[in-house]
Order: sequence, then C-alpha cells, then structure tokens
Amino acid sequence: MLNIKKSYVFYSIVLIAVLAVLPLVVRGTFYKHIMIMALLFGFLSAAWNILGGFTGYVSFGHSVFFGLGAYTVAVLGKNFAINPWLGLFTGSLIAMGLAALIAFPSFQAGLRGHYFAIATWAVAEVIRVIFMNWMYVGGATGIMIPLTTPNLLNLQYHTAKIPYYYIILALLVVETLFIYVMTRSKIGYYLRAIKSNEKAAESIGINTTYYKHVAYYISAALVAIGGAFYAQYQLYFDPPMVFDVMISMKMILPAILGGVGTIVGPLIGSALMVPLEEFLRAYLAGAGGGINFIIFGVLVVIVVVFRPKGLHDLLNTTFKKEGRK
Amino acid sequence: MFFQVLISGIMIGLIYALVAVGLTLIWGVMDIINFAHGDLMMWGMFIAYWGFALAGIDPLASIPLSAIGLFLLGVILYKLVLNKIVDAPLITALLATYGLSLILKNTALLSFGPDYRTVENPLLEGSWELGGLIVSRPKLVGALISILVISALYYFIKKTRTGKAIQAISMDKTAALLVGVNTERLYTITFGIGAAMTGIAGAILTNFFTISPESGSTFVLLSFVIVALGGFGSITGALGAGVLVGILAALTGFYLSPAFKFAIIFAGYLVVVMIRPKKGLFGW
Repeated sequence: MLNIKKSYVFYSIVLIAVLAVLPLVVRGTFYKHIMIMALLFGFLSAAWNILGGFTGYVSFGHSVFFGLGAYTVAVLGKNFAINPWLGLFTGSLIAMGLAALIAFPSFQAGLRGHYFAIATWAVAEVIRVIFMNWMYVGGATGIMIPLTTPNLLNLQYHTAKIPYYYIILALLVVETLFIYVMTRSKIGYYLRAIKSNEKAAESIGINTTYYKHVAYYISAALVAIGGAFYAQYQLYFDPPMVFDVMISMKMILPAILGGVGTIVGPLIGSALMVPLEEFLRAYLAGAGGGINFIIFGVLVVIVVVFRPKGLHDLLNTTFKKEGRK
Repeated sequence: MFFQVLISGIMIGLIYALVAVGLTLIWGVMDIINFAHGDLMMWGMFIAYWGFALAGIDPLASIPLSAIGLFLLGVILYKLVLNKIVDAPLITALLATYGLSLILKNTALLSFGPDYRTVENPLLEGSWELGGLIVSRPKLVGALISILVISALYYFIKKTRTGKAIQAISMDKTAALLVGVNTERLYTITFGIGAAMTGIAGAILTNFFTISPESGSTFVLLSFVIVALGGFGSITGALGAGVLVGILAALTGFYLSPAFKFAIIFAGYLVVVMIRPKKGLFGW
C-alpha cells in the first residue's frame, strides 16, 4: 500500500526515535517549551505549505484558522464542558467552513498572488476585530480553559511539559505521513501542476478549482488542530496571541527557510526558527525593547535574500556535491 | 453631524491616499508588496517629532526634511536588500520586506522606547469654523498638502522623462530594457519616492496623531487595501480609494463603533475584490 522508499523509512525511524528520547535527556522547562513550540510551528507550517507551498496560493491569513481552532476548543470547554478532543474536531470543521466561505468567492473571482494573499489577510483581520469585541468569548481580555484532571482524555497536563511534547510529536508524525502519501498520490501531482501552470493543468483535464478547494480545506483543518493544541497547552490566550498576522508569518517563515513546497522544509525551518526566536527573546529582550526582533529580522532578510530556495536546497546541493566526489 | 463626519473622513482619507500612493508606485513598478511601508511612515513621524522636540522645528516645516530622510532610507534599503529580490517569487519579496519591517519597527522601539508621544503646541492646532462645520486645522492643511504632493507625483509620472520611463517598466519590463531604460536606477528612484511619500505623510500625521513605534502597523494592511481598491499601480485610483476609505472609516467610527472602523473597510474590500478582482473600484 504505502510505497515509501526504504531509506526514507530508515531515516524517519531514526529521527523519530531521537525526537522521542530528546525530552527525557533535555532538562529544564524552558528547553522543553522550545521543543514543543518548534514541533507545533513545524506542524502549522507544514499545513500552510499544502496550500501556500505545493499549490502556490500564498495565504497571509492562516492565523484565522489557528485562532478558530483555539477558540472553539476553549469556548466549548468553558461554556459547555465539552471534551477538548471533540472541541478540536469541531474547530477543524469550523475552520473548513470558513475556508469554504473564503475559497468559493475568491477562486470564483480568480484571485491569485498578491490579491489572494491580501484578501486572506483582510479576512483574518476582520475576524480578529470581531473576537476582540465579542464579549461572549471574553473579548480583549481573552479566555481561560477550565482546569480538570490532567490526562490524555482531557488533553491537558497543566505545567507538565513532556506529555504535551509527545502529543504534538505524534500529531506531527501523522501529519507528515499524511502529506507524504498525499504528495505521492494523484492529488499531490495535481496541486503541483496547479502551482506551475494553472491554465495548462486545466487544459489537460484537471479540475483545478476542486483541488484548490481540497488543498485549502486540508490546510485550514490542520492549522485549526494546531490551534486547539496550543489552547490546551497555554490554557489561557487572548485574540492577539492567536489571530495576529505575526502568527501567519511564523507559519510561512519556516516553510521559506526550509524550502517551500517540500515535505521536510517546514520542519527544518521550524527547528531553526523557533529556538532562534526563543533564545533571542530569552537572552536579549531584557537588554532593551526589540533587539531580539532586530536580529531576527536581519537573519530573515539575509536568509531570504541569499537563499531564496530555502535551506532544504542547500542541504540537497551539499549532499549531491558529496555524492559526486 | 453627517457632514461633519464626512468632511473629517475626506481629510484623513487624503492622507491615507498619500501613504497608499507610495505603495502603489512600488507595487506597480516593482511588483513587490512592501510590508515595511507602514514602518517607513513611522520613521517619518519620528523625524518630524524629534525635529520638533529637539530643534523646535514645526512638523509642517519638517515635511521636506522627512521626505528627504525617507527618500535616502528608501534608496539605502533598495541598494542593500530590495534590488536582490525584484524578480524573485512573490513570497521571497514578502518575507524580505517583512524582515525589514521588523528591523525598522524594533530599531525605533530600541531607540525611543514604546511610549506614545504627541507634539505639544504645534503651529497648526485647534480648528476653523467654516459654514457651521468645525474643521481641524492640522487635518485640513495636511489634506491640502496631500493633494498637492499627489498631483506633483502624478505630473512627474505622466509628464517627465523619468516618469515615463517608470511607466514603461510597469507596463513591460523587458521591452523597457530593450529600448535602453536603466531599470536599476529607476527602481532605486521609485522605491525612494515611495518611501518619501510615507515621510511626507508621517510628518503631516505628527501634528495630530500619537507617535510610537507601533503607529505604522495599522497602515500596512490599510494601504494594501487602498491600493488594491484603487486598481493596480494607479495614482488616481489610490487617491479615490483613499478618500472613500477615509469616509467609510469616519462614518463607521461615528455611527457604529471606532473598534470596527477598519474591519468594515476590510470587509468592504473583500466584497469588491471578489467582484472585480484585479481592477478594484476605479481600474479598467
């Protein structure tokens, strides 16, 4: 069934084993937090990549799905005492619903490139303002998730980090496997065909609109799952923490750093971006407002300007050169 | 009261248009979404602010100063970063300018702190009463200066040799290169002018806006929307869309709630873009 290359299987198992042992070796809450966030943003970026990378429809507004996932699980848990797993599922359905609301008119209108990006950002901004002023969901003060017994069923472990780490690792492994299978199947080829030349793809009989919808819904639903996980991990959040355009950027950046439209790109990118950002914040934010962001900004510019194809490409070329020797 | 709100919407809308005109020029010519546009404007505000606070130069007199300062900043940024990403994919340009935005915003934060500042007792304050309407002096003068600057830019693009060369690039880069247009030089000028527009707008806003490193953030998406509404790379379109957006924001802020004034505009933009994707309201 799954026709996966044997070398891939081997490397993946080694990598997963290393990642599984890592939290047991690494001490300190801060480092565990960084590892969780790196996995989470790898997860989110890989989800963004389905639409933005493989299909070529760059969304600036994916924070909206992250926020909807977080808010759904929080509101359902707080006001209706509904189990977070059900909340997570509901959140991804709602995210798909909103994705449909955006996708139908914008694909109908043929929005692409800058126009699609700005439209998705505008949607995210409208929803952010609504949540800021919607008292039922806590408005600008944010929302707190009621504390219950820490276990897997309740998807919360309060201050313990390790269980959260394994949950997000499991989610990431499943997601990556899913994306791998998808890219090797018909739909993966169709999406890349849409990216490289939509008109040509259509002329050879691919129902481009249908597959763009599919990519959008999968992408949105996965991001919402990430949002639900984030809500259960933080146990408190407010609209800027989940809806800000910064969140969308932090989904896009790893994919660009690592390599757009590749499977491992977002994961490599996130493994670099998140620790970098967190260390800069931890060690430099105290030194005076913003210096960590300045360094981060400079690094972003340098990487983007000098390595537009991402580090994945750097790795590939290095390995190929070695192979030739 | 309606006319009162309307007039103040038109005035602020003209200043929005000034910010957006710089963006539409960069967008139209270089096909780059400049994420740092709002932060460039914020630096214009700080130039005017420090000119006033340290040297006693009125923000009004700072306008040329701020324009020149931002032009130079724009040229430097172009030479350092943007000229390497002009022909790169959309997303590369996006992230590079996003990085620039982080740098510009946080350099201001590092240098000046997060405080909200205002200019005390500038030359222009208070208001005039014109036919029963109360018109804020700094806004009216700012709006008139915006019209003047936008007209000058329009003249420059349409009538001068350099302006025509810029137009040629935005129509067809390869053809422009073939007939001997120096694209590198013109891109530099375009980005410099685009930045200078934000410098002028920033100095005008200093008269009646709070100044902080965050001041530019709201203008980014707002300018994108105005540019897209006005139609790709169109100066007159940006002018019309800016005024329209100003009016709509003022009316929403007054009759509904200030919290929703930009949300309504973004929602309105979504409706327009779904109906007329690339042309906006005024393009054809």
